Amino acid sequence: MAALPTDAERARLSPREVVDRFIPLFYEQRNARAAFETWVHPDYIQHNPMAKDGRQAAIDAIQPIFERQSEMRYEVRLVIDQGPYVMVHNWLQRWPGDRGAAVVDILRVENGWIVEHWDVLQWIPEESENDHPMF
Amino acid sequence: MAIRSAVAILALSVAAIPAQAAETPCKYTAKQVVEKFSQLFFIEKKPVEAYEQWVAPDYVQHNPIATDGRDAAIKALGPIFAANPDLKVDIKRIIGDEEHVAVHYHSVMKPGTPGFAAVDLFRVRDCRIVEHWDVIQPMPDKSANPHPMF
Repeated sequence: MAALPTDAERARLSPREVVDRFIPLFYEQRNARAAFETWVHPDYIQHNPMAKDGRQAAIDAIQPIFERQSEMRYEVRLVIDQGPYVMVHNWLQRWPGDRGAAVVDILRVENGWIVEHWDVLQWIPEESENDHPMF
Repeated sequence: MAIRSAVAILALSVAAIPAQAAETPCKYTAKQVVEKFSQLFFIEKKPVEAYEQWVAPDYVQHNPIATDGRDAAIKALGPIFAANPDLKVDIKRIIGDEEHVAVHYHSVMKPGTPGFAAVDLFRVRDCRIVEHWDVIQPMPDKSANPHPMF
C-alpha cells in the first residue's frame, strides 16, 4: 500500500478532497481495507446499525462481503459537500442486472480523516409510478 | 406636462410589474430554498403551500410511489399527512451546494413507533425545486453500535 498521507498533507485537503480520494478506493475498486486505512480515522463513529464503532470493525464487516460477493458494484451518482459533511448518493448492485439499492452515505471529515458515517439504504422496488425510480 | 409624464411613468411601471416580477433573479441559495420548503413541509406540515411556493410544476420525481409533476406529488402526499396527524419529523442536518441539497431526517408517523431514517435530495434552479430523489429505511430493532442511524 502507498505511504499514508502525513498530518501536514491531510491538513491541506478539504473534506471534499478527502472523499474524492476515498471514492475510487472504496466504491470503485472495492478495496475496503486500503480505503479505510488511508482515509478513515481509527476512532470513527459508526451509525450504520450493522457495524460497531471504529475503523477496524468497519473493515471486518465490509471486506469479507466484498471478497464473498465479487460481482457486487457501487456506482456513485452524486456527491454534495458543505462544511465538514460530504454526501455520496450511490447505486448498489449485488450482481449484474440486479435492481439493487439506492444508498446515501453521509461522511463527516475532520483534519483530513473521515471521522463519522451515517447511511440510508432502500432496495429499489420492482414497480414504479414514474420512469426513473430512485435515480 | 409634468402631470402627463407622471401618469405615463405610473402606467409604465404598473404595466411593468408582472414582467419584472417574473424576471426577478432568485435571491436565495439552493440550501435556503430547501430550508424554507422543509420548514413549511416537514415542520408546519403544509404540503400544498410548500409545494405551490417552492416546487416547479413540472418537477421530476424519482420516488417510485409518485408520478412526475407537482400536482401528482401533492395528490400522493396529502393523504399521508391526513392519515398521520401526529407525524413528527426531526431534521438532523441539511447539506447543500449551489444546485443540490440533502435533508437527513428521522420521521415518526405514529407516536411510540420507531419510524424511519430518510434522506431527501433536491435539485434547485431559480428558487424552485425541480427534481427530487429519496432513500428511506425503517429504524432497526437492533444495532451493533449505541447510536443507530443518527
